[in-house]
Amino acid sequence: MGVFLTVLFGYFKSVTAPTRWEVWNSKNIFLAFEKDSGSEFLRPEALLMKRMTDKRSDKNYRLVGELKSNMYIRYPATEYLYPIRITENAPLVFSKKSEAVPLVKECRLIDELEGIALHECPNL
Amino acid sequence: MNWKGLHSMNARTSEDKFLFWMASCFFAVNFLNLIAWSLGFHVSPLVFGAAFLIFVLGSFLDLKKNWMVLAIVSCVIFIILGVPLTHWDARHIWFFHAKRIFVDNNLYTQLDNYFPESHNDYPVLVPAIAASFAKGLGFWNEIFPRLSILPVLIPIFLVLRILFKRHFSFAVAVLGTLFVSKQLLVDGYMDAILGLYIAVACLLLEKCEEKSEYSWLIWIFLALPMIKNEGVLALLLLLISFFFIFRHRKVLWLGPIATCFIYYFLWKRPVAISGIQTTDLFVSGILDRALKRLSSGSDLLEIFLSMVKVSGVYFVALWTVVGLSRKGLVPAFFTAFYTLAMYGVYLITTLDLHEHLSHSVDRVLLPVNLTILLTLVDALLERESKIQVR
Repeated sequence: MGVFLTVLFGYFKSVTAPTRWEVWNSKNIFLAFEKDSGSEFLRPEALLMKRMTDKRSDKNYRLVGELKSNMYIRYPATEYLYPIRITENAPLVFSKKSEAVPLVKECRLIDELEGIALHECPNL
Repeated sequence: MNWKGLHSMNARTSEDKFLFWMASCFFAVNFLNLIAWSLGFHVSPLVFGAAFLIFVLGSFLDLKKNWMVLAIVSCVIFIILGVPLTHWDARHIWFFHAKRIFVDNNLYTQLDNYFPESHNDYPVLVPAIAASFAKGLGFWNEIFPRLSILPVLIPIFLVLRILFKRHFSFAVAVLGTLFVSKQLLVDGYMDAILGLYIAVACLLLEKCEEKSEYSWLIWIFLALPMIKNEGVLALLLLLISFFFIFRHRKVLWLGPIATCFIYYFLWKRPVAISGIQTTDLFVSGILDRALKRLSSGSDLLEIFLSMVKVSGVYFVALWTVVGLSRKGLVPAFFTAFYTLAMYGVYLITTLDLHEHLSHSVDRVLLPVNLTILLTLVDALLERESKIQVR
């Protein structure tokens, strides 16, 4: 029994060892039943976009520039924002504020949060 | 191989009967949840909870036999709930599909092919359970739905507990399974779960002597193609073994054949109607890619060496046992042809071969390694205590 439990504990330790992506934490067990728990591990861009979309009733948004080309931002944003959809022809456009994306020069800035800008481009 | 005991449900001890019914219950609830979602509703998470509670309480009644299963299940729960969902495919494929089922109340919502990078043709046995769990919570979060892995793993551990009569061989089998699968068993990927189902199916085919084992086989045949697309290939190979073993009892073929029809109408047909390509492997130019790689000695060698590195030792051990004891023929047949098929997949891959191999070969061959592991444990540690049919 002792050997079995020791080996099982060894498996537990090896699987929950701190890595670049995640850290096992007993606090998460108590948070597992709360809304939005675990989202702190997501890309900050996805979290910021979520905060902005939560203020609006629109269901379709578009990503441009690095937000679109970087899969480590686009994938988490797409799945975390759902049921908000990321589409290619939405008039509401997310971009990085620091980026000079040609598309959004013609558009109206309607919101921004920590480096992420939301533009309205009705003529797209 | 024979079929002595179709009548012999009462051959088992009462403890085995409890484990048998619990395993069957979990298999059934998991699959009924899928059927329910396809009809527009779902199995309440309370049903999963009740099954789990009965399993825990019943296990305490025979703690001497079941404590190891309880320890492993507890360990899995602690691991899953202690870490948010972070792994790439788990988040962006499996649990994204689960979130979509939960949000849209529709098993087939992914067939609109929104976000095609998430491989919308992938089957949804585990995502459907995750969606049901989220329904119980009333909202989606990044931790709790991953617990859906548990009701899929529990019946397999229970079947192993019955198949491996000796505590020692069961301990070696499950601890070996954990260490071979590593975190793939609990991080939300489907490869290790699929591998475990395949390994147990091979073991059942080797030992198939009772009605209960036949029913488990049917449940596993139902689950395999709904866990992951590779499950279809596995099902095909296992069916060949099944038809060969029971070539004189054709009435037993009905169950496995029915599982193919259920899979087709429940998932394959809706995917085909939606027009989603099953995989990017079968896009045009298969023959060109295959011929190009076949004519390149370095590509052939790279695939071969990558596979040998992952599964070579396992194959040597398996073929030694098969050669010495003439046991393990089903796993030998399965692992050989499954590996060949995977070799073929790498021959026609559209991705860069080196990159594809480096990030997938250990996952892809997990069913092979787990099948061989359980076969070796059975052959070397368990043979003398083979299930008795009275």
